[in-house]
Amino acid sequence: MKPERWRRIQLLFERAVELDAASRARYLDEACRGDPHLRDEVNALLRAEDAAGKDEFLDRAVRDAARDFAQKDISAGERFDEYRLVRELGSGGMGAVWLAERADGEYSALVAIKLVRGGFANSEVERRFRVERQILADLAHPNIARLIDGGTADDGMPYIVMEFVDGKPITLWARDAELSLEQRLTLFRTVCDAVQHAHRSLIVHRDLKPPNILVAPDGVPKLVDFGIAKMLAPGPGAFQTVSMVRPMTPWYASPEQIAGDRITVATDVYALGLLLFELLTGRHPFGGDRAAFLEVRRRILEETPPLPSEAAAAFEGRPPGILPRNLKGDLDAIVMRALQRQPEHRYASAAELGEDIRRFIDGEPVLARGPSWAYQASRFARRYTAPVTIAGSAIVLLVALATFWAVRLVDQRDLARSRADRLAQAVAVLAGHDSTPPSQERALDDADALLAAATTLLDNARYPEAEDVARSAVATLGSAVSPSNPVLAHALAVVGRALAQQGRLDDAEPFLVRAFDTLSADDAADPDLLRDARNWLADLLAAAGRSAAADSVRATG
Amino acid sequence: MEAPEGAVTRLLDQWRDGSDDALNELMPLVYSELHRIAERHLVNERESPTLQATMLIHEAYMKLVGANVEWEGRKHFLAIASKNMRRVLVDHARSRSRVKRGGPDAVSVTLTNAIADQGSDQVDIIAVDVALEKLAAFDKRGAEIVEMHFFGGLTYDEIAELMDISAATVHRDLRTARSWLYNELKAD
Repeated sequence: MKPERWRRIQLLFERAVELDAASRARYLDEACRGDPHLRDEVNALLRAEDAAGKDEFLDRAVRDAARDFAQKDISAGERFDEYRLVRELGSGGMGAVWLAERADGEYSALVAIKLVRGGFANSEVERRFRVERQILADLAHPNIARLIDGGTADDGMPYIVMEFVDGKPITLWARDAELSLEQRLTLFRTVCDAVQHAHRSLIVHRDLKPPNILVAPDGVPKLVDFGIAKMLAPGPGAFQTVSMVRPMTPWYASPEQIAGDRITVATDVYALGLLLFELLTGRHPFGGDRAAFLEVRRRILEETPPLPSEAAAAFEGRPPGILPRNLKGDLDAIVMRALQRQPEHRYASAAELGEDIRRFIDGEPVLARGPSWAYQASRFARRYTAPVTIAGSAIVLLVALATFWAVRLVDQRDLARSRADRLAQAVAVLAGHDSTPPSQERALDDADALLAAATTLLDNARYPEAEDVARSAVATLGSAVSPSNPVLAHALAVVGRALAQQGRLDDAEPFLVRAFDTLSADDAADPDLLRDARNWLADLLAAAGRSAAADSVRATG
Repeated sequence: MEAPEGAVTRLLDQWRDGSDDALNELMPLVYSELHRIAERHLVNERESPTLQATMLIHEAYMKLVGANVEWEGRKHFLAIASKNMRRVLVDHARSRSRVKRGGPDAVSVTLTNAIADQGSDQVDIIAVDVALEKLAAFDKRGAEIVEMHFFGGLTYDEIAELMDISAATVHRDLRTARSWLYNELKAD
């Protein structure tokens, strides 16, 4: 560019930026007459102006570079507890990942160690990091890379030890292994199952994308980095500092992540939809070109993705084994359902998505093509508010009945149990299918009723049932309230207590830790609930033989 | 041998009086001092997530010039320090990325455990440096203002005084330069 031209652009920009949209367009029409290119350049600056000011990208660039400078170089051979670093696998803004081996020669296991740059901002972040780590460590599934350990190095740098997966990103694997359509779908179902497993433990991945879904040489897919995005920026603060965790190139971000809205299991369902699209067509729905940040954001927030069958037909690089006409109809519908912009219009869970894939493979009609139950229900609800509220209370009534049978008919124990089971199933099915977003009040009402039932079951030593009902309460609240909500904490506490009473101490601990942490951080928390959570956690620690820890928990009372 | 603070003050004076040689002597002094201070913070500031470039510059200033130099000297120092801050950070980033790309396993990185792309929110300082060079080709003043403000932490008023323009002009130049840089960087 010539300096004179730049000067011209600057002048037009300075004038135009003061005008409202309509006068701006008029002004530029006039001023750039005969030079549309000039107009484009001014417009590009005007579009960037707002974001450039808010994004503080230059401040961040300098700050990050200064921090990088201060970070000691880490080299092979260094030790982190019982692990010795072998070689660096990669590095990025948040830190570096190293391949490491056991240094004590106990056994020859390779692990990946993630070193987190910059340390913890404060002790609160550090504490949450520990809690999250514990929850993730409990996540055991053959298709999820296990979180093994973690800690803080001598100099304060946090690190996470994970199972090392020597594999290829799933999309590359599918390409190189020349998988057929059915093989791709089967592989994808396995991924859905793994995601669903984590969701059952209330863990959302938040950053599902091909580089995080690796396929080992034996063809087994493994998800890495489950929950890590949250662990690195945990807690309510994570949403306030959203610019820190929002990816710069948001190809795999969901609309709600880009908008800075709340992240739920539906976020992972969207990411699975993107993955399925890519596995079927060989390309990303919003184009794999090097579009600018703002353009990608806009497409994700505003554009409807193309149908996979049409995208594949138009794309020469599509997988050789895939015929666009085989995608037409059912698979188009499944992908589009998962990629709905509104989280509540997507599949309610990864399991539902996986199940629709199974139906397709088995030649059954897929749900995605039928009228969407959730969608119909939400339309119905808008027209007939009263009956739907009654349907909501029906759940509560079912739970009350289940509790009644379970508790009162002690002399008909087996009958009571089977009835309670069936009702609990009915509750779970209703709760699971009711994917219209419950209003917060309704979720809280339902959860209260479920918790009353769960507490009764708990008092009557009906621990497995208490656990189920309390988990329903957690699920009811999960997508409607903030993570620090006291009712949610209460529900987690009851799940934890019920697990502990079944002797599942390790499973119980993260629930009780989370409940106790939330309630003790909440000045307005109900003292009875806090006392229960404290005593239950202390009981658990004592039962696990950690009496000092138990005492220190009790001492907070 | 002359004490460093005396030398730097003398060079600053000479540079102000129009001596380019003084500037050429001054640059490496400031560069190495900034480098040294930044390295020392590597030990002390490990726990602080933000190691402020401006703080480093201030420290370099106190070390090289001392507290008792009048504003004229200080603002010229800040201009030089901004340039050097940019160099220190970019040189370091370049040497790091060379080490990383040179290794025998460079290719397999993307195929093994590609967790590290997590931090894709990072703005690459090398890309910023390249974009600033491009900008300077048609907007030298804008690029210098960006450098002084973001790398040196100078305020609009300080920049205005140093460049002998109005603070409003600084603000306007910075605004367009920043938007241009934003588009340039995000397009990559």
